[in-house]
Amino acid sequence: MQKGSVEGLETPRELLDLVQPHIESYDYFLGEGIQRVVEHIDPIEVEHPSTRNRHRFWFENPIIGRPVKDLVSAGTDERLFPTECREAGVTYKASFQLDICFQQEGQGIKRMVRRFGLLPVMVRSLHCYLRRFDRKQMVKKGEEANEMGGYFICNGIERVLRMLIQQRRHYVMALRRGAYENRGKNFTNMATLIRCVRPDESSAQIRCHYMKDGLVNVSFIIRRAEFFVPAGILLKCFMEVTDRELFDKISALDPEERGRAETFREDRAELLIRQAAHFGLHTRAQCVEYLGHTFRTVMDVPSRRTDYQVGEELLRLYLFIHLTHPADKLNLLLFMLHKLYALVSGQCCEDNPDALNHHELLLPGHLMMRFMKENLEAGLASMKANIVAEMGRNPDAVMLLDEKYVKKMADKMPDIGRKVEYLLNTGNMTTRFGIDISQNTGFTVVAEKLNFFRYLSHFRSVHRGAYFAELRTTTVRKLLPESWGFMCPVHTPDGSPCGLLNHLTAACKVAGTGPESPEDTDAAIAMVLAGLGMTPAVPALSMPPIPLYCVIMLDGRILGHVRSDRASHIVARLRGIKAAALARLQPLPAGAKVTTLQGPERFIPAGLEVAHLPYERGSPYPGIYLFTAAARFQRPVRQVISRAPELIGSLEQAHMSIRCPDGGAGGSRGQRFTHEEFGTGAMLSVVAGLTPYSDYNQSPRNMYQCQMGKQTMGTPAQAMAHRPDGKMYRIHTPQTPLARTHRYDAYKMDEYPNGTNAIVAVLSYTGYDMEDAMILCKSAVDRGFAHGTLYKTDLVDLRTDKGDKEQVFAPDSRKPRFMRGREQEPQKGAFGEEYPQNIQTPPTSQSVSSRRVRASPSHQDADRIDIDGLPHIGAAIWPGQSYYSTLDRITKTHKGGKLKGEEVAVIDQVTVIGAKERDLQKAAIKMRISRNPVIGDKFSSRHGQKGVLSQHWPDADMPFCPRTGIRPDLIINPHAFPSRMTIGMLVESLVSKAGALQGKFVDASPFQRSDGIETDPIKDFGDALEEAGFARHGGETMVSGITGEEFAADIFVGPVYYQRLRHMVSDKFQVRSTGPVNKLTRQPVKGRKLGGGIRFGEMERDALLAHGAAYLLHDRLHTCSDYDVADCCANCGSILSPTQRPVPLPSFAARLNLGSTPASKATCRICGEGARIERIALPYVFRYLLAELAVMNIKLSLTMQ
Amino acid sequence: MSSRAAPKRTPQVSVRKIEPDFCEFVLSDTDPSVANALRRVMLSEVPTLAIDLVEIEVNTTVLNDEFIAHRLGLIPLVSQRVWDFTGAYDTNDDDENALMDIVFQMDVKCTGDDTLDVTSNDLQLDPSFPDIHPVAYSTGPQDAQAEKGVLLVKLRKGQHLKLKAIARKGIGKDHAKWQPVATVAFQYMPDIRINHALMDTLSEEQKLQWIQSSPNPVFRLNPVTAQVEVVDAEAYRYDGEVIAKAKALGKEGLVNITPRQDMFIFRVEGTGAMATQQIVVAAIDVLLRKLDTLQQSLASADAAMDMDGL
Repeated sequence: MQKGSVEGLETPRELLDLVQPHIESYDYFLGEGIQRVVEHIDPIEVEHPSTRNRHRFWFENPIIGRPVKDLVSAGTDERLFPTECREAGVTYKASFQLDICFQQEGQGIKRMVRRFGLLPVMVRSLHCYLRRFDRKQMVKKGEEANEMGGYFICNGIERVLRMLIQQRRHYVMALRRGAYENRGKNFTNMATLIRCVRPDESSAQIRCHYMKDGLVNVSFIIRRAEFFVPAGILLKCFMEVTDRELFDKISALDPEERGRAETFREDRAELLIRQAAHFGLHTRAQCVEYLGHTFRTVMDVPSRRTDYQVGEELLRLYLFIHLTHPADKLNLLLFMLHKLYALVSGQCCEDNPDALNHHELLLPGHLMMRFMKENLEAGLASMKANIVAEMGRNPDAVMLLDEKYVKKMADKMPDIGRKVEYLLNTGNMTTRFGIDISQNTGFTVVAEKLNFFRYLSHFRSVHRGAYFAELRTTTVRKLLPESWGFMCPVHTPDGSPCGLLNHLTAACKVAGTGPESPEDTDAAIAMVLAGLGMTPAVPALSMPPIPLYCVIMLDGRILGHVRSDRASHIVARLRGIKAAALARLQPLPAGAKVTTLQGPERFIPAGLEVAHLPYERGSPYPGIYLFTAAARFQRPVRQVISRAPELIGSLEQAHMSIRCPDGGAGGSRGQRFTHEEFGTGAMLSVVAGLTPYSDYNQSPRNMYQCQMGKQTMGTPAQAMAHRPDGKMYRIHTPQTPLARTHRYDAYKMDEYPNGTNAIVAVLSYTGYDMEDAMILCKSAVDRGFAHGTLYKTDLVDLRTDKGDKEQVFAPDSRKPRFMRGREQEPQKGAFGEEYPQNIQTPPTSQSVSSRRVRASPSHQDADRIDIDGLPHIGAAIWPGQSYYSTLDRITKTHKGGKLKGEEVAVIDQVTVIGAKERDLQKAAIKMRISRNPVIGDKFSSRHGQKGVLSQHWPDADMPFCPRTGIRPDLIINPHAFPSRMTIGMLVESLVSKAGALQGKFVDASPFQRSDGIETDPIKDFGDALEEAGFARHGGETMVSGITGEEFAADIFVGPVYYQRLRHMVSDKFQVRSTGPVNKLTRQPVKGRKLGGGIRFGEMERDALLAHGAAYLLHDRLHTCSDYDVADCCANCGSILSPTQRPVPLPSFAARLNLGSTPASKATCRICGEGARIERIALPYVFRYLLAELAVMNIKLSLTMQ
Repeated sequence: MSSRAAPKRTPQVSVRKIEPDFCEFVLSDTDPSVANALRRVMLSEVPTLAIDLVEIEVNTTVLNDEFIAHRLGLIPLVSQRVWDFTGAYDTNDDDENALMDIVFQMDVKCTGDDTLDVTSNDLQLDPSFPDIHPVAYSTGPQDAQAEKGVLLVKLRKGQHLKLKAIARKGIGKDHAKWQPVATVAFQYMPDIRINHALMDTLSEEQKLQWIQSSPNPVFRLNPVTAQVEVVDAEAYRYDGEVIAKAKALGKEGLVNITPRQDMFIFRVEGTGAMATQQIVVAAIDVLLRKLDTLQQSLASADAAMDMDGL
């Protein structure tokens, strides 16, 4: 097997492919995307009140720069690199500017440049300097050698824009939804809908609702409000058509069929045509005018526009926005009607909106485009509002031709860079008009570098949308067969996000962009199809009916139709072309061949999706649906005959026959396999594919492993010195697993190892391994097993918002303790452990005089803090000690930053931030906290078998193998296996043992036999074990280390790769006898950080009552809680009235003799006497309750007995 | 005190093999408890020297202070003189002259362009104890053939490591770095009894089959007498294959195999801190001292009980 580490200078392709959807889409945004956004923003128009001149304003020529430092002296490198941003806690962003063009009607265009702030730049995108860096250059710049990018750096934190699922664009779906009936009277639950997307990625949904009376209403959305228009009117708006033509188009009957009993569509066609007539609308102009008149107020258009113009505008801006030609729009509307009728008549079934074949992804770049469009439009609108407002106040001051004036108005536009930064920082989006996304929070997540598994999972995760998380039904969470090969069935968390947060399979790609020039591609496809026998759609002709003919649709545009029996021929040819197109992008595998492309075929993209839905009554509506647009899921499969790879999409996959490696020769009846999977790994995500022998495990265990793999303490990064992450875990002695899947090598996991091969014995030995506890051999821990470190970075920023310089780092200049003649007590930890000492160099030291070592400074905390107020590197800081000190220049007071927690930290690194400032005001202090395994820490194997360390068992007491002398590192209880059925772990142990004996790594990929590797691990490695002189089933005779007697049973021992999880007792333990209390009630506070307790609640109280443990109950609820002693007047029963009688001041002599101070006397202020006042113990809250009741004039008296 | 009548035995030791870091011997005529006691003492109570305290002055290497200190601690030190020292935790008397610390120095800086390996050979020995040094220690020019020492850390240009390391006496119970052995284990000698009467009912071919059913060569067929003989009882792994085979042949009870409770094969693998035979002897010494202590305290307890008139 190849090794799992990276060689050479190139970043591995496999890793780059993982972030491909992010980078590709963002690159598109940087290039063509932003251009298209700006092009599609409509100009604003204002009319000057006095001159009556009309002025137009619009944007042009967007330029996004590259990140640069803002203050650089000449000659130095002005480039701002991602590392610098991380270390300084700033944002990696580049300038963004636009030309504001303005024009008075009939005159020349003037333009000026306006900067819109700084736009965050995705790392390794086109505008990032790291884009073309090789591994060596990366390391030189303090980056990870294998940096893959795909994230933004916001205030030093790496954040990822989450990929969200949304409805597939340009595909007409037929739905039944109860909610549709609530749209109004006569509405049924049936509708067809399409999501249309403009080239600038802004989208709008159109729906055709079926009414109970057989009519159809078309709905569309203007500024978040839904409007309905009768389809009969809309049908006439696009083109000049006669009623006869329209009737033919709607009914779409086969000439032979005409006059038959089946008149369903004809009836409805007639109804629709009558509908328009009912409104008195006959011609196209009338219909458009009607629309314009109706929607005039909603659309906010200048009053001088005619109704007809407004109607045209409506059609252009809100109806089928992805199409430009009216004929196309009409055809699409007709198609929607046909599909709706088919749904109503039961000819086709409804589509499942939760299935992946009707989904696509909202990619980071596309989200940026939508967000930019919204904000740029809002900017223009605000400029208009400002101008109009000023026109009202002072028309003469408005000089719309004066550059200075326009600049003044333009400067009032909001800073878009800031808004994008806010979006990335918080994940919240504030939109005015709504950008057709159903959520407004949760768009970004932090790309935590806990370990590599977790890190890369952030880039592969796909969320269904925040809306669905609240849904009470579980249908959306269901794993549907349509997801096969695109979404991993294993890798989803359990709990609330189960099934909503999914992960892409390793091979799944997402089309980041559409074709380079959509027009040429469309034309080429149309030509090729015409060559293959398609009848192009002509406005004059009506669409022929299904099932005899089948429609061909490209990206939501009807291209034409073909006889159904010719369809599969066309599809087969298109697939050949696709494979050939792919072969031009990547080398063909051996033995594969593709057709040669001729003429327009050469312009067909490899990513073309060819979904051929054949006709069958009750199936989805038939047709050949072609897609070239971005945001679609894609994955490679192999064509059976040509052996060439082909990219397939999720819609086409559902209607193809693809052989799975273990699927045999079968397939559906009457259908032969045309494609096959590349391997069984095709269904697994990267993380799920790293579980060895996952096919031997019970399936939920593999899900648990996917979770735990992401919580493992491992190797988070190689450039640790350049990473200021707030918290980072790292293990000291990671190893490469003996048993690994081929994914392990393919994804170069040796670069970021995550665990240790531990010798695991499965036996019930000490009683300390019950209930998923496990025992570690003390000597193994002594030698470094699972040793780890927690790195914490504190960013100390003394600057205030105003930027004043009062606070600076400076040492506390008072004399140190040891110079004041007081020796510091060696402090000890909570459990008696000794803290490490910092050794100082006194000025009298020999090394100062002879070896020119600098003597320790002579200030207060000189043992750990240097003369600049920042800590020494390598200094040990005890809990509660200060690790930096500051000086307030105004008050001349010193303050120290105290180390919180109960652990000793060692200063690892101090980074001073700020290039120009002379004052030291900002620094990142990285501390390291040793986290070697202690009782209570959590470990797990790679099979969802987690356990808690219960003992460091002495080496001499561990059982041993009499022949080899091997003592296990780890003991787990055999009861962990029967109910969980993680056989994979047993196989891993057996196989690793054989591998270790042979000195080989073992391929532990799942489903090997289905992939054609003839192997039986139990037999093969059993033979190897036997050859090496071990029992073939992994058992060994073992001797008890305590008694020296042999165990009656053979013990199963072998190496298993163990992960140390980040859940550690040091972060979680909570102890308290007494401590901080709530001021008002004097009850203990809650919260670990505050030193509070764990609530001893009602049910716990019940348990003690049931046991009759009265003393314990009293101790918990009273003594350890708000114990209080109060004076109570037995006469009136009040505890509020007794007051202490003023006692005359004791004389000085008496005060010295404290013991003899007479006990103070209390009197009752109500009864006026003090004779019957008793001291009683009661909870303080009770006294508080009484006081509160007294306020409300309620008296409560106690009866004393 | 009553003494139970037990057959008096004199444990025997026969040495099979002695190498500097490996030895194998057979301990017989004693009980598993004694064998195990010997093993346990060798593993965790024979004192050795190991670096216990590290004062770091300069560390600009890629590894952090604690990590380097831990690695230093795990280097085996040649501990022939361990008996001259007093452990840090067992100074019960105020012996001012007790030897405790061996101070090593290290000061390595990389000045070349190549990676520099810092190994245990870079430790500068304590001038007062020139014979206490890491295993495989050599200070001469380090060519490929020479022992390279234990690798601690690798340096690149400009990195510097300067420290003082103090070695002390200790036992493996406190920390694994003081274990004198990599491993020590004993094996029970199998007692194999062939039921020859039953065996003779088998044909020669069946006998061969039966012999071959054992994965390890334990038995052989004597070509002269046509009898099955035990060649190497130790090779038997308690795998139960021959017993299963006998059952399959319908001859249950063909062979009876039990571990002998009075014969133990010991294998000791040293770390290099001490010669293996020294470890064994030292372990016996430690055991004896434990027994002494026990005897003394028993005697004093008896005396105390007598005083109380019990």
